[in-house]
Amino acid sequence: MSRSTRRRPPALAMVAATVALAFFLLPLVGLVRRADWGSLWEDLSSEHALTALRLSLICSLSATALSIAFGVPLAWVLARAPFPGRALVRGIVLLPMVLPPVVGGVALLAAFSRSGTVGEWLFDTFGVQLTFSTAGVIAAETFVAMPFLVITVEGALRTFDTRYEDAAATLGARRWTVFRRVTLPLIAPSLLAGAVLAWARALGEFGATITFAGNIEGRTQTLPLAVYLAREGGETSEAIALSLVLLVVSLAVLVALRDRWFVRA
Amino acid sequence: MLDATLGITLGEFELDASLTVRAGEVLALVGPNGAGKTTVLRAVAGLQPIDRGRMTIDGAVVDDPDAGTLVPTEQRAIGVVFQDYLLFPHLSALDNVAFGLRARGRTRLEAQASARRVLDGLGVGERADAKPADLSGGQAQRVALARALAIEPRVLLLDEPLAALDPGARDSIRRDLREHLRRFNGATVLVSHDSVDAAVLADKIVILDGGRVVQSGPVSEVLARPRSRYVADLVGVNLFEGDADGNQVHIDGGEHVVVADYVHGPVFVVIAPRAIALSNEEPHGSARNHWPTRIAGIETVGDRARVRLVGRMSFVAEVTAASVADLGLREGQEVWAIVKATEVGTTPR
Repeated sequence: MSRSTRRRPPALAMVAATVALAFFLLPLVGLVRRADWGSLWEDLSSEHALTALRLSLICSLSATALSIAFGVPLAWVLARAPFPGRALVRGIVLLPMVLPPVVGGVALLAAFSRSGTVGEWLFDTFGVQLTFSTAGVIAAETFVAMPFLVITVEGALRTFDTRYEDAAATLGARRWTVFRRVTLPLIAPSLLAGAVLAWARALGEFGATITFAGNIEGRTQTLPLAVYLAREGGETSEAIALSLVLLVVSLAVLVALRDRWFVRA
Repeated sequence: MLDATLGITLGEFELDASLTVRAGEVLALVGPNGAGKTTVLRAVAGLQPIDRGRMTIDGAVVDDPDAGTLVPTEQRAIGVVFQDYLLFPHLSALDNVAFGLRARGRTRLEAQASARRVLDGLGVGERADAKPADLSGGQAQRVALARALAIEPRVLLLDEPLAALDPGARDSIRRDLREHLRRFNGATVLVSHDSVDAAVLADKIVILDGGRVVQSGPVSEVLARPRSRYVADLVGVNLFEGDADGNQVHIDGGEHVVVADYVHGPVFVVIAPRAIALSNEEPHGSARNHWPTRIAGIETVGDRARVRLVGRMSFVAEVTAASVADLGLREGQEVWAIVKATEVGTTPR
């Protein structure tokens, strides 16, 4: 057997791989082909679409900000502070990544609805109601998005050479200064990647949002919900136009993170 | 001044050592890998609390487990040059050096102005804006030294400061480092596994092995009179100061040594004990260095003997026990010490 024939992949694998690739590609081609390019601008600039777009941006960016504010400390604790049951805690943090989002929504309802365990206290004490509110959308999106940030940042903190922190301490820097001026800048690429992942996940959130926050235009109806509603209401061209927006955003995320995922072997 | 008696238990490893380094003095900690050298540095830096003993810097207690005192690293008057320098890769050389001053509350402008002076003083001022990745090994070492010195520490700790450099650059950088250490007015502790580093840079030497001090004292004494075979193998070298002029080095005291390298200026001449051959008759042939000496002592360990030779040039030679018998060597005997020019090492001082 010659070396070149041994290197060629088996025909069956090539066929299967081609089918798989086509399966990914064809729906996207279909989306682009079915788009009504003539009315695209009109569909996207309608009051209805703009409201959903604006709400999606506000909610997904807020969810990303919350994920950073609470996720980075959580990642730090998981990576650095040895405590019993750490594996269990990590499991709890990662659960929303594998949990069906609609289950996440039902679980959020159980805890944060006005009659829920925490929701009742929130409402009685602060008058805050998360369900059927924009805050509820942000809560649902944070729930599903934060784990992406936590695992990315935790991984970076684990592989971080802590001797840089020793060096900073010998120079007189206190822990917060060390974190702010040494650790954080050095893990910034991972933090950015985690934030982009979390943001993309929040932007696409559907199941937990519609279950927990409902589908109220201008208040809880984000882009994916608007796509779904337009599709159900027979507004196919609008659904496709909004879908194209989300497709473009997804491609932009891939481009932004290409160095992380498409590193050439 | 650093005064430390320290005991540390790390699993199976027990470290017990004591060191005293006065202001202006340089102490070399020498030993093989795993001897505990870096652990001692980490303890002085406060990165590794001690389990037993007591440590003071300029009289103030920084670590005393019995009294429950432990001054954290960031509050100790120390500067550390780490083995691979650990310059912050995201900061310029200038901001690396300014980091400690900023952390101590100086404004950015003040810190950068001071940092620039220190970099200039170490001859790397023109690299102030470079990122660590763009610095050569020698430049990175000086920036690391500048970063440690900028905060005006009372104790300077250097962990294998020359190990990361390629051998071609090492000699001149070692000489420069010696100048910089001479100008530093605090106490310096230097970790090395190289006796030449210790000889060139340090005043005192502490030899660690397996967590224990096996010998300590002035460098010249420890190098010339290793108390054990182990120390002899580790650091025993013949060291002379002189001025090089091409292939000759004029030794202080009037003798000269022929070397194979072409060198100029003040140097150390390094001759390994095993490089010295002994003969009862004056050798012929011009390429060889030879001196008449008298045997001051013979110490046999196993199949080898260390022979102490005194004369216009005094050496320790190491020969086989067989040649001691063949030449009939005994104390008080006159012999010729012979060294090939190619066996003589030089390093600038």
